[in-house]
Amino acid sequence: MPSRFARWCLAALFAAVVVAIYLPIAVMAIFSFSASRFQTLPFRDGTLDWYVRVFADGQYSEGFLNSMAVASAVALSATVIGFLCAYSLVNARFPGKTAVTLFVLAPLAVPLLLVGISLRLYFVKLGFEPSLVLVYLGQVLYVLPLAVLNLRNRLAQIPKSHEEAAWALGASRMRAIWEIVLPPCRFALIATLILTFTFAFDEFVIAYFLTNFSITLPIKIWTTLVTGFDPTINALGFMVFLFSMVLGLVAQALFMRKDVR
Amino acid sequence: MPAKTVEVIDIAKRFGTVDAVRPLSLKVEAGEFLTLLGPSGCGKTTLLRMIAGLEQVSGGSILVGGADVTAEPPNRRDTSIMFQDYALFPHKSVADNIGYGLKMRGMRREERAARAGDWLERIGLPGYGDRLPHQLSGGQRQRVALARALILEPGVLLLDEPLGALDAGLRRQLQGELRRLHRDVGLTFIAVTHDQEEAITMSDRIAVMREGAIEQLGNPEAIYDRPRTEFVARFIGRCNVIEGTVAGQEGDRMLVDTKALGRVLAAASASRPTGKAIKLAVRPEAIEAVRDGGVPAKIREVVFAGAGCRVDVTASDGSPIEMELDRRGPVARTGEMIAIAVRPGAATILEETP
Repeated sequence: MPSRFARWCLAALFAAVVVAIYLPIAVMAIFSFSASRFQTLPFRDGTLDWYVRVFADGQYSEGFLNSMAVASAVALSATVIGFLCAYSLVNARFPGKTAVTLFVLAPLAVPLLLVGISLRLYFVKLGFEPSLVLVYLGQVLYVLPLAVLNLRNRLAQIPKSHEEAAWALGASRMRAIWEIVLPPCRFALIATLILTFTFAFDEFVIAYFLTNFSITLPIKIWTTLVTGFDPTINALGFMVFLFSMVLGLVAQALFMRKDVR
Repeated sequence: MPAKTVEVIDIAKRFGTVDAVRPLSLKVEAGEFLTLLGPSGCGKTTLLRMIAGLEQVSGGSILVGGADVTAEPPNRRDTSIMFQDYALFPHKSVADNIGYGLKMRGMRREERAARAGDWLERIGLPGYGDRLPHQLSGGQRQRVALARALILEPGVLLLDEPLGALDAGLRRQLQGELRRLHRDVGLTFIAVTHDQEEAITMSDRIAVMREGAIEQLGNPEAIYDRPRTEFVARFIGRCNVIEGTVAGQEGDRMLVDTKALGRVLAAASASRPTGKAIKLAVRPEAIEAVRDGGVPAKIREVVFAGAGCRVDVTASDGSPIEMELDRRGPVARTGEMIAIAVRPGAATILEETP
């Protein structure tokens, strides 16, 4: 049992971390409702004006729609590829399996800046114009390790004998995966979809390097900030925060949910 | 469902550089209950999985009902397998689990449900069809797994550690139930276990396996009474292994001189020359306390064991001997000297193993 003092210190440290993370977001949220153009206290008149402007600005909606489209495609692709990858890593016996596993998971450890630059150089060399399609490809690469890790952990919990029993009872390999392996993974699959979606939705560096005219939401936010502060950013930022937060919590709840065993 | 024979010929399995199963042959008769018995890593499960078609053979062939099925997938060899963990599909109802094989054969839903219902009745679980596997007890799950395997009417049922996941009390009860089921359905059963008691009580024949090879094949009595090697003698039941020298022959039995137990009349699979050093397997119940003759021994410990007493004695040459005394005889006390002798013909000369 830690002493009273130690426990008090721990509580204080925890509080400090929470404050450090959430205070800027709270400030942003508060000023998104402030009528003043300048972020000064005391807080005078409340307004929803900035929110209205966010929706009225065509560039924001374009960025939002682009981000939604790319992130959805990324999430779907990464989850499907990630499942197949995880399935073979869990089930197959082949030489160098550890090396392959490390190779698949390695992008997690490579700085995003390097991934962005190298992908840009590589694609341009191949003669591709920077575009949302390239952003999609780059981001699939970026979130794939997350999908593989999540799904591999879930798949490893399913006894191999379940699949073998299905084969012995006459199921083909594909049918056994579809009817016996996939259903117990359904929560993990949905959670992986959400997780990869949020990562792709928030991703800035790869998107910045791999597109030029069609922009995603994070790029729009960045360019707005660069050209001078605009309180619409507060409103937009707070909405994006809520959106990501809800998705994140849902994903977390799904990961923690025990599938029927 | 007519029972089928299973024949494996020179079958072998290598994993990398490890010989899981060395080339071995075995014929299982139609309707027989054969158990593959051995410690973990002896290759028994690999052999079973090769017969089931879940593991490719590295060499040799497998015949089920006389037909070569070595290259056939699991569902095309007239065998069904029950797994140690039962492998019930956790998200499917009990009835859907039992009917899964029929579904794969394209049977209509209503007919499947009816057949599954029949089997639920047969295994004593009527009305359990809508439950999920995790709502059943261990014993109930085992019966569902059996029904799922048997509904396809195979000629051979393969059982991987069928009672391994159950606790001791239930195990004993289900040993009898499996035996009865075997009689009822009249199929060929091939089971795998590491539990020698289970093998002895359930099987018609036992194949004792060691390091990928069959060490001894025979009915439970033969395996228990006449172990062929020291490994079998020690693996099945309790056994004293005593060194001795051949002193002569008497009919088809051999006279053996031992330091610990004096002169012993022992069974032998083959004649051995006088003067040859050998090892004897002597079961605890083959040693008696005698009034006349015998050799002296000192009682080291007496353990009450219900019907009888397990008595550990020290022989005159100092070696520890385990014997069994029934409670009608004189009371044995720790520290006393007694005279002991081996019942004629109850010991077995062991073959040398490399």
